[in-house]
Amino acid sequence: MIELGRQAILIAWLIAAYTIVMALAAAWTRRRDFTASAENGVLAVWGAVLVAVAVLLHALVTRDFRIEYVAAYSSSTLPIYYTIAALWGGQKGSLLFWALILTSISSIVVLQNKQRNRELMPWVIVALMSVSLFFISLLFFITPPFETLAVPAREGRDLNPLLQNYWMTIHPPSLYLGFVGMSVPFAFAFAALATGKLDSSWIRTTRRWTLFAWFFLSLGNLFGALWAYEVLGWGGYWAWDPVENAAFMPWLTGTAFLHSVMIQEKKNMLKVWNMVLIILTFALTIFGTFLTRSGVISSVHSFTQSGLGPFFLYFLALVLVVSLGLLFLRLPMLRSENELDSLVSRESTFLFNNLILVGIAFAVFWGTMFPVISEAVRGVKITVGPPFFNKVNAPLGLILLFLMGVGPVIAWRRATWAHLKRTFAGPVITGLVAGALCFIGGIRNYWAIVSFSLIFFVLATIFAEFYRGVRARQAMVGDSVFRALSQLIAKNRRRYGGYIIHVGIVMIFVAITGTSIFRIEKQVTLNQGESFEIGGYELRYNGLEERDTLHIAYLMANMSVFVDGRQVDTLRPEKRFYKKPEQPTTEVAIRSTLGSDLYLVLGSYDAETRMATILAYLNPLIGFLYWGGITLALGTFVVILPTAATAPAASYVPARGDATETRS
Amino acid sequence: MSSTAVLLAGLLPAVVFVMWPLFFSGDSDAIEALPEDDDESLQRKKVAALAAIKEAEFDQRTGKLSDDDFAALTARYKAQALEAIAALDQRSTSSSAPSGTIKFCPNCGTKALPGGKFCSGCGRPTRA
Repeated sequence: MIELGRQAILIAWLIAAYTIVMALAAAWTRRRDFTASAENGVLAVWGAVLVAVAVLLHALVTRDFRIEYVAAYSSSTLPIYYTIAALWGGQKGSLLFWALILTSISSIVVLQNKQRNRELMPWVIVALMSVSLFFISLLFFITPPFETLAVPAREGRDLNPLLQNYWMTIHPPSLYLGFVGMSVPFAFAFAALATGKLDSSWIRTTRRWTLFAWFFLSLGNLFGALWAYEVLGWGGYWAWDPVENAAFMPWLTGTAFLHSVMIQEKKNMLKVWNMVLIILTFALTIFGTFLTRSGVISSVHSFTQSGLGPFFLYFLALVLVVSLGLLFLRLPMLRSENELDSLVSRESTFLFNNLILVGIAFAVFWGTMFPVISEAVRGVKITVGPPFFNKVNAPLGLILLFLMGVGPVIAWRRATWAHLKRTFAGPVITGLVAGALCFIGGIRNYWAIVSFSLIFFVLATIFAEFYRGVRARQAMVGDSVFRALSQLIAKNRRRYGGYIIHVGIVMIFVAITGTSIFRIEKQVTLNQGESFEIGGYELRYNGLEERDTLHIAYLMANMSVFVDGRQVDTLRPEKRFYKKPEQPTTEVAIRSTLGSDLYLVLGSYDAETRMATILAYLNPLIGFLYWGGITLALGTFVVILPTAATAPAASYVPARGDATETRS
Repeated sequence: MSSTAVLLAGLLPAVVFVMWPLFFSGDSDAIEALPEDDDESLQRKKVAALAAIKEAEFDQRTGKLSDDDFAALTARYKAQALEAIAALDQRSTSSSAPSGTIKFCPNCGTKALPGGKFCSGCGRPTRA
């Protein structure tokens, strides 16, 4: 079996190399059989990688400790779902898993485009297979996942306890899907540049893929934040750790891309900018992988560290040189067909939104790389902490929030004063009233007041959009309110799904505002039976409880939670002692309500006196992080799901079939 | 089983699968045709222009476009759509005879454009 896995990787490498050559030949000669062979090559590589993954999974599940990877990342007592998740728990396995996702996506792209984009496909294959070849090369030459131990281990060293958490089963896959998914729009952009077929067709073709990748990137980031929240035990969910930043930067540029392509589709503007954004986004996914795996910058995410850094850097340089070089060559063909008419218009608002998103990405990049930069320039490694990021990004984030209210509603081309008054009077008043209410309610933090005002401003613009749309439809078609609303969404799912996503993002802003400004933190040492108070809760410490299993020993502090003298809950913050890697971890206990989270950590304890130190946090409004994520997912489904036969897009779809039908 | 045997056993079917089109694909020397792409981009241009008109109408109704701008925009998009339709028209007549299924809209009597799914006069589908 092990041999099969090894040879599968070799076969994948050989076929991938062949496929790139064949696709280049196909691009050169335009011969159909060359393209067909290259397309089969993509499928064959996928098959070979799939075999390798199956072999590794089999080895994990059957606890084949002859294999170094299996012995390093699992053990005989590891539950089955974490054993499967161990596939992406370490460097080698995660690279293999990455290759699987990439080749799967490439295969789907090939199958989707058997009849479409024929001119682009050879180049698309060149791009996708080059990325695949890079990852497969790492697997073959540098970090072979099927390396065996000289002496088979009797027991595995087990998966890192921090990874033995249910988020582990979904955070890495969704992040990888997001990272890898961005290769598709990049590959088509590359193909458009290479062929000179530079109209918006590459954007239209990859719209769903971009959304798909963006969606999983969003979820991956959120899942990662929630994981950190539940596992790392410092009361927060985002610390501007290099690895968080690594996943956040492509999200920012990807979000900018998602918005600016609309302007290209509608107005044939920003063509070069879109190319730059997608190249940048793809490069940042590679850069993010480099950050997490090189160990250049120390991070909470050290499980996947290795000496792979330089290879990623070379590859990144290659990607940038080739794609930016091509872009430079094609610049004359990418002239904008329209110009900005006015600074107060939708086009310019979108442009501002782009600048802000890229600005935030740059600030994050700068802060993340500062230790390296400062070391290179001044010889001292200076790390900038969360204060830097918060200071720079808070105002930018608020501007972004403001633009989110303005952008989708403002008139195209040139907004008149009358239009502005009509559209924004209501939302502005709503925002001001919300701000005033915050002030009256006793909030004196001006960041919070501004943030909540803007949040209500944006929500009001979105509500007004739906309201006006429904009214307009009713006037045009004469439907009932409910039918008008559902038809409104069905007729332009892109626009209204987008609004739903915006509501999700606004909710995330609510959570960020609440937790970053109004968080309460307390550290107390208690004797059995003593209690303390935090944010309206009274907590009584009842003593320590113990539990032991084969895999883990638990020690829990039993805490009774009272509100107004009535017991509402019992929380048990834990210490866990994992037995295989002999490592203690801290498991937090959380009581969630819509208003806030009560978050308890067992800091330290004295086994004899039974005294315990409890860290308690009250995180206001953090529940909106979950709900925002769910709303965002819902909105994305509205935008992305294939159109039903009755929906209007069916009549917009370029009627290729019809065209040929009428001709023949 | 030796590693070479495993390699060959795996590589052989893969190579056959990948090389197959080179030797057995009938039209081995066929060149990927370009005009198809042109047709596609014309179609797309037409559809994009028509969609833009529709969206402009809606934007005007919800007050996002002034009447002047609306008139100017629709005039421009109409011109674009007509241009694309005319080009498509020409291509389809030059490449082969028009299909001749429906010449006039059964609803309002406007002359139907070849290849059009909907009547340019009243918007009803041209085929039942």
